[in-house]
Amino acid sequence: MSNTIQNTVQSSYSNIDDIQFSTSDEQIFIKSPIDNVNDNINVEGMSLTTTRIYSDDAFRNLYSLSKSNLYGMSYYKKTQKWIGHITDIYVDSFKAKLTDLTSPGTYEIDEFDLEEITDEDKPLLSLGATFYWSVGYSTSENGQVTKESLIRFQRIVEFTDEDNSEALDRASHLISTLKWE
Amino acid sequence: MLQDHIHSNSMAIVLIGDFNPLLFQPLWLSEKKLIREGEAIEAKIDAISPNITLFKLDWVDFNITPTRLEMKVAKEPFFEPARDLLLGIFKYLKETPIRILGINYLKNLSIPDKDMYYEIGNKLAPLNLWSDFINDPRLSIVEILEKSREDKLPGSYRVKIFPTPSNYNIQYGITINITDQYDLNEGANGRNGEILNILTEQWEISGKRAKRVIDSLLTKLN
Repeated sequence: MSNTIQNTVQSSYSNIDDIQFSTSDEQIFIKSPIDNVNDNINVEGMSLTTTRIYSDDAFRNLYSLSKSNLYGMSYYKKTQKWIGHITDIYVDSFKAKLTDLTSPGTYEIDEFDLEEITDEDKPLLSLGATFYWSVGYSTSENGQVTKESLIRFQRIVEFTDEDNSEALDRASHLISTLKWE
Repeated sequence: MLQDHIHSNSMAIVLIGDFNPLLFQPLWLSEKKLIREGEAIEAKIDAISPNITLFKLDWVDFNITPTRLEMKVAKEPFFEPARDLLLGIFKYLKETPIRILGINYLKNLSIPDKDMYYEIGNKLAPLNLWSDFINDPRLSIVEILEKSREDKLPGSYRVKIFPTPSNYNIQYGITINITDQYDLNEGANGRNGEILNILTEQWEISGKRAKRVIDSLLTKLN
C-alpha cells in the first residue's frame, strides 16, 4: 500500500480511532463508532469506496476501503429475463419453453445451441431442467459495453431418500452415544 | 420522462439471525454444487474468521457476521440465482435461526443535467422551506417508512432516495432503494425455515410491488 494512499486515508479520517492497513494493496480496514464515514476518497487517480461491515467485536463499525476501478462497477442495462424449462435435447441444441420474467404471463418456445451453455453447467442439462436466460448490455468495470446473452442453470438442493436415511442414521448414532446424568 | 433515464438495477438480500461465518466459504458452496467449481476457485476472499467472512464471486458479494448475512448482486441476470443460492445454503444449514428477511431493490437513474437533478430533490422535499436559514439547500437523503405493511405481514417497507454512490460513475445519479422487510410471526423462533418460506412465497410479489412503487414514484416526479 503506497504512502500516498496511507497518508490520504489518515488525513481523511483523522477522527477515526483505528485505521489498519492490510499488507495487500486492496484493503484498508477502519474501525469506528461513527455510523457514517466519508464514503468517497480520491487518491492517485483511483476512487476508494467504503463498504460498511457490521461486526459484533469490540468495535461498533468496521469499514473496508477498497480501490474501485476508475470507471466504477460492472453492471447490466436494459436486461430482459426468462426462465426456461427444457423440452427437447438434440445433438447440438436444445429446445425450451420460456416464461418471460420481465413481463410475466407470456411464454414462447425457443431453441438454443449447446455451445451457449457454460461447460460446468452442461451436467445439469436434462429434460425438464430449469435455466435462466437473460439478454442485455453488460458494462464492465473499465467501461466496455457488450451485448450479452447469458444462460445459467438453476441449482437447487434436492435431498434424496439416501441423504435422508444417512441423516437419520447419524442422528440415531448421536443419540445412542449421549450420556444422561 | 424519468423512466427513460434508468441506468441499472441491483439488489441485496439480508438475513438477520445466528450465523457461523466460518461455515460460509466458496469451496463449501461448490462442494454442495450450489455454485460452479470455477467460481469458487476464482473467488476473491477478503476475510474468513469467526467474526466476519467476506468474499466475492463474479456475480455476488457475501458479507457474513454472527448476526447478519448479506448478499449483494450488482448484475440483474443473477437476482434469481442469488435467491436460489440462499435457499440452497439453508437447506443444508436447516437449523440456523433466522429472524428477519430484507429484500433490497436498488434502481439507479442517470439524470441528464443538473437542473433536472435539482428539481427532483425539490419535488421530494420543497427546498424553499429551508432557504431562509440554509444557504443553497440541497436534498441529500429522503426516507419514507411504511411501518405497518399493506399486506398485513409482520415487518416494514421503506423507500430511500439518495445520490448514487460514486463507484457507478454517474454524474447526476439518483438511487431509489426499496427495503422490503419481513419479520417472524409472533411466537415463531426462526428455526423451522419460516423466513426462507417467506423468501420463496413472497419473491415474485415483492418484486412486483417494488416495480409498482418505483413506476408510481417516477411518474409523480416527472
